[in-house]
Order: sequence, then C-alpha cells, then structure tokens
Amino acid sequence: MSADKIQVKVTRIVDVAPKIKEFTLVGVNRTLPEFSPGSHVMVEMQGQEKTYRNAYSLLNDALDSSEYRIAVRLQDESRGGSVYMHQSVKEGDVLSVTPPMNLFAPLWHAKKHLIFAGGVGITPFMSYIPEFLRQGVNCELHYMFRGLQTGAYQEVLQQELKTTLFIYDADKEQRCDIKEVLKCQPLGTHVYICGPEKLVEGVEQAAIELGIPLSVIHSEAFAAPKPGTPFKVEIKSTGQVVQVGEQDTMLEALETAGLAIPNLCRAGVCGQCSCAVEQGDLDHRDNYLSDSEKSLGAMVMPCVSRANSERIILDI
Amino acid sequence: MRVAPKPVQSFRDDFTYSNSDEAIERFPFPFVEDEYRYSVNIESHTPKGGTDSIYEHFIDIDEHYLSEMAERAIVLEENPRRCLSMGHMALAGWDFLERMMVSLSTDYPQYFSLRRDKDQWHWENTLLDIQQDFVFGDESTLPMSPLDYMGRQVQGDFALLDQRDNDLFMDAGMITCPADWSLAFDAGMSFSEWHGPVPMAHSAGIFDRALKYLTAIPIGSPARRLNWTLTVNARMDTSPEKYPDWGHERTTVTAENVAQKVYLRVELQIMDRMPRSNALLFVIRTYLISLEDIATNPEWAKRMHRAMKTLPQPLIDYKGLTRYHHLVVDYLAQFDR
Amino acid sequence: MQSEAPSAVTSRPVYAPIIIDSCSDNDVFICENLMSEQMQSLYLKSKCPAKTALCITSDDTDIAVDGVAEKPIKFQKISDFLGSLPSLVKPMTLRSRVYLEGSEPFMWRLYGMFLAQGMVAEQINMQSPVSNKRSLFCTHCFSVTDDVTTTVAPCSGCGRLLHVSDHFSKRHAAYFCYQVNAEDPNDVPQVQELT
Repeated sequence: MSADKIQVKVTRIVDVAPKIKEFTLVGVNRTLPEFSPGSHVMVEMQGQEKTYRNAYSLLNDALDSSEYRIAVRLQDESRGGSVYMHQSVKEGDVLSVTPPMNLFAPLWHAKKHLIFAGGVGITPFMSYIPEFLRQGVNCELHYMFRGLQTGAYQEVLQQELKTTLFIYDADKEQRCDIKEVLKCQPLGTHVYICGPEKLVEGVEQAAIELGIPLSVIHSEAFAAPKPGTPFKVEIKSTGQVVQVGEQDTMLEALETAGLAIPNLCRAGVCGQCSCAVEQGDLDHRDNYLSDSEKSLGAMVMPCVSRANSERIILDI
Repeated sequence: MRVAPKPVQSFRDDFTYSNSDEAIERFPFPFVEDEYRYSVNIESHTPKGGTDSIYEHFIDIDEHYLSEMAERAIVLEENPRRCLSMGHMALAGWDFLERMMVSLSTDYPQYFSLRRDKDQWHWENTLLDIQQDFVFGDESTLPMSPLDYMGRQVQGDFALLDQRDNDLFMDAGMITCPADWSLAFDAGMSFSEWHGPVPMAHSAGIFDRALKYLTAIPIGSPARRLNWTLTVNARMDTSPEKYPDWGHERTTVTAENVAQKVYLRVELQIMDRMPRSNALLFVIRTYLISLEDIATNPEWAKRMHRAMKTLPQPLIDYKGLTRYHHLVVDYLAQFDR
Repeated sequence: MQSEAPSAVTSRPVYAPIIIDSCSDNDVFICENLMSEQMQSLYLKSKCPAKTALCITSDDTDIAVDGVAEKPIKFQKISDFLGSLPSLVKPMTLRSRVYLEGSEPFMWRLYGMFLAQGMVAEQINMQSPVSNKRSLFCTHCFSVTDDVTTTVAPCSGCGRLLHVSDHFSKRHAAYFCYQVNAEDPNDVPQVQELT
C-alpha cells in the first residue's frame, strides 16, 4: 500500500543551527493532508546517480497543515540524502513527499509528558508541544545538543515551556543527569526520547535501574540504515540478480533494478516492505519482526536488513 | 448511486425489509473459494467494479439508507449507551465527522453538501432533511457529540480505535447493528482482548499479523475486508444487548421456511487512518440478503453450499448457527449437483 | 478432574507469581479481608523505604497480623478507601508498586482505580484470586452481579438467568454474560461450578 506521493514546492530555506536547515514545503496545486503530532513524511530526492528517500518529522503545529516544515541535519556519515538537501535543494524546487505517517504519537491520556531530545531529535516534539499547551497538560523537556552543530529552536521552546525547559549544551560542558530526572516522576508520566541511539539506551537503562516500567518509555525508533558488506539478491520468480552495494540498502537496490516494493517508513518499523526469503543467511536490523520470526528467517525487511551470506534468494 | 433510497422498511417486528434486483446484483458475496478458510483477506479500499458497485465510493449509500437510519434512531433512543466515546477520543470524533462529511458530499452531491470557511462549516443532508451550521472543533455548536451526530447520518457501524503501544484500543464507537458483540462491554479493550472469544484464529497468529497491518495503515490508504455470518430474519440489531428479543428466532427455522427466514449477513469492514488524531476508523457496513435471493444466482448458491458444508464446528458454534446450520446446508445442496 | 489449561478466551486474565520489585520507592499492599501468610511474607520481603499495608473488610475482625510490625490500615468498604486514595497516591512515582490480594473482581476494581490515578499495568501486581467468585456484566441491562460462583446464575438487575462466559473486561472488572435460555426458554443447562 505505498501511499500516493505529493508534489511539494520548497518556499523557504533557513539555517536554524550551524548544521541544521529548515525547509518549508507547500503543496503544488493541492492542499496538504492533515497530520497528527509526531508525524513524519518521507522526502524523495532525485539525485544524479540515485534517488534518496529520507524520513523527516513535521515541525509545525498540527492545527495548521497549510504548509509542512521539516529540519534536516547535515549528517557526517550521510549516505547522500542530507548532503543533497543541504547543497542541491534551492527555494522554488519541487520535491515529492509521502502523506504523513505517525509512528511516534504522544499518549493522549498521559497526565504529564517528559521529553528527552538529543540534537536534531528535537524535531518530532515541535508538533507535540503546541498541542500539550492547548490541552493544558504538564510537559517537561530536557534538550541536549552540541551548540557548535545543533541546538535549533531554543528561543521558541523557551517561550512555549518557560520553566519546564532544561537545556544542556555539551560544547559548554553541560550534562543532563538522566537518572536524577527520572527518579521522582509522578504517576501518569509518559517519557519520550528522540536522538542518538546512545541517548535512547541511556534513558532506557536508567529506567530499568530505577524500576520504571518500560511501557511508559517511548522512543522514535528511526535509525538510518547502516552500510555493510555487499551481497547479491536473486529474485526467484524471474531469476534476476540484483547487486546490493556497501552504501545501498537492499530496498534501494531492488527499486533501482525496477522492482516496486511497497514501503512506508524505510526504517524497519512499519513492516510494509516485508519480503519472503527462499534461502540465505540474514542480518535482521528491523524493529518489526519478532525474535522468533527473525530466527525463522522466512521474512526480511529490505529497507534496513542485509545478508550475511554472499547471495540470498527472495521469493518475490 | 443509481439505487435511490427507498421509503422506510423495517428490520424488526414485521420485517418489511427487501432487496431490489439491483441490490441483489451488487451484493458483496463473500465466498471466493469452494472451501471455507479462515483468513484475514485484507485489500486496499480503492474503487473496483465500476459504477454502481458497492466499492465505487468510500462509503456505500444504497436503497436502504432511510430504513437503516430509522432503525438506528430506534436503537439509540432505547439505549443511548450504544454510542460512547472516552475523554481522549474527542479529536478522533471530529476526524470522523470530517471524513464522512467530505466523502459523502464529494461522492453523493445530489444528497449531501458541505461548505467550509475556515472553521465555520455548513452541512446539508437532503435525505434526512438536515441543515446545520457549526464551528469545526467546537462541540457546543452541534446538537450532540460529532461521532453521535454524524453516526446517525451514515450507513454502517463505526468504531474509533486509539492507537498506542503498537496496539489498538476500542475507545469510542457507535454500534447499533453488530453481529453479536457489545461495545459497552468491549469498551477500552485492546485488539487481542476484544477478539478474546473468537475461536481458532489466536493460535494461528492471524490476529498478530492483522494488528501489525492495521497499525501501519497510513493516511489516505484505507483497507477493507469482508466478514460474514448468518442471521434469522432481516434483523439489523443482532446485539447481545437485545439477544433476549431475537435469540428465540433461531428456533423458528424449518426446512420449509429456511430460504425466506435465513439471511446471509455480510460486513464490508473499512479501516481508515484518521489524520488529526492518528486513531483508526473501523467502519462495519452491513448487508443482508435472504437465501432465496442468493439462489437467484446459481453460482453463488453452489459456492455458498460448499463453504457452509466445510465450516468447522467451532465456528458454527461461535457464529450461533448450531440450531439451523444443517437446514441451510440441506437447502443449498440442490444448487450443487 | 478439572483441566489445568488456561481458558481459550484470551481476554481472561492469567496471574503470574508475584516477585517483589527491589527498585520500588513506595509499596502498597492491599488485601480483601485478612492478609494471607503469602502476602505477609511478600510484605516482609519488601525493603522499600515507604510501605503501607491496607485491608478492606466489611466485618469487625481484628486485622492485626503477626510478623507485620505495623497494624494494617482498615477500611470497611471500597468506597471509603476510594476517598483516601488521592492522599495515598500523592507521594507515589513511576517507580512505585501496588500488590493486591482478594477475589478477582476486588482486585480489578482497585486496578481500575489506580489506572485512573495514572498508574500503568506493570506497576500493579495481583495474586491469584483467593476464590472463584466472579462479577457478572449482564449485557441486557448492564447491571453487575457480584459474588457468583456458578454458571447459570440470575442477574441481580433484570432477573434473567445468565450464562457466564470467560470473556473478561478489566474496565468493568466483570465477565460477559447473556441470557442462557433466550433461544428456548425450556433449555436451561445444568448449573456448574465456575473455575
């Protein structure tokens, strides 16, 4: 069920941190779909050699979907998407995006929202906070970044949250004692994390040590696909063989070879791109399949997962 | 819609409900194989079958519109708790109203119209003679909650499922024509809890797979599936709430009246992501057809005979067919020789 | 012999043995009537800086128990307890735990009260129910009938004879029940003890 793509025009590009640019997108000859706080869109960029597809959270208040705003951090180990957005995309350009998808919605019955954001991980929360303020629900944000690279939107957050905003700039040696923050949170608090894997693991570890149930800890599970050893994919139905390069994902390689695989998140979360595996040793990297499904090896999520063997056969 | 709404017929007491030839022709016959098999059978809810097909539009409005709305009004008058919404589902209620008003006014402009000026909305339903000015998002400008208000103007039952922790929760709905389940009882349950009584499917992993699929449904890509059971008489409200009123009808089926008395009850279930709240809308659009009317299509009758004959006993019991299942099989056998 | 297999209906609760969570900052033990030996031993195992034992009992029995230094706090009715709940949960955090003992409807009623205060399921631990007593939710009149131990039991609201199913609602703390002889008034199955 690959959703229909939406053509959008870039109307404004601004620097919001040394390594983060914000892009404002409006629909080309159409209105944009409504969205809920925590949603993201997949942006498709037509590069010289390949098509990049990256997921970006929508930053604006969900009450106003007349435009979408996204923020892109220039990644040091970029596979190309963020470099393309930073260097090639200009105001007036047309991009295509998927309809909004939400894999990180807040829990509406929470009595308090406690947020940990790291660097560009602030983005999904930009749409949470206006809605929390409207509903009058208590919200506390701990925002960690390196001021020389990231740290966008401090001013607007300060205006919105006032005394419940806590800022930690690692470039100024400011650190957040996560355990101390978690220690005395009242009943009904839900905890949200978005940022580097280390931050997510740090909060989860502190929660475990404190005896906080993991069901109140929510994290944006997105991880950029990581490179790996090249391998070959054989398509059972046609005998076609597709080469997956070190920097490509299996999904990208299949798409480049002309195979349309339904997909939504391209981050191992939604399960849409699931492919049946005929044969091959798999390196499962997704959050969709259960452990038993992974050990069975009958399915694979080509958006993030790879092969351990030189060749695998997909039954597609 | 070429099948225009007919004057009100009844789904109770004297049961004047009937299907026109056109309604029979477009009936969503659910058996696609010669053997009964339990499956999730979900597909994308995109138009198919062309003009007049029940799949032509997002919501199918047919000749029974006025009858079903009149029936729904009776049920809600008798028991307002057949519609409920928990506090955190308010936004989802507005999502529902918007989805219905927009799709009905687009698909059936001869019956419904919607004018929007920012949050000032004007709605007209000429079939029910309703005109309403209201402020979108402000419940005080509607005579009742948005779910209650709009649910009374659309054919089908509706559940709004809150999505959290990779699960779905039955936190709001208007259920006046269910196939024997109670919204009041199931309220607040998780996906696996409200399917608790369904036999066989849990161990087959069907619900785990279905849940993963449903939680991933994106905005603008609704999905659908068909479900079915049998009902004695053309009774819409086969709820547990009213079981004391209709349970005895199961004993009234005989070899002589089975063709007129037993109805195939098909639910067109539509699952659609609500954009503002991220809730999942579950539409259960029910169609009823007598065995006699099915027999006007010999292919259907033959196929249904085979499906009925191979239906496993736990499902016969679960669907409440135990008392008259054999009569249905015997009747349909004549079409499968 | 009764089958030990859990109910085929997946909404029926399953109770795992309780393990005291050593990280908790506030443990509350609540018992219907007297505190069992098992619950006393759990109470003693808890090294939590703040712990409270409560008994909710309608009779005049002395609830003092050996081994538990402080005498448990006594309430006559669940409704009395409900009044003191806000002050009880005020100092509680995401780290706190509740331990419940009693009949199934008793425990799930308290579960609902703590959930409304913001607790999550993992913070609430339940012993296996001390009796086979169930509360019945009559789907016809929506009344709840307490203390039922048989299937085929009359509804306290509408008087209909009810079949007691294994389909359980945490929210209602009760089982789904419907008229047993609605199809044929003369067809009333034999009364059976619930498990």
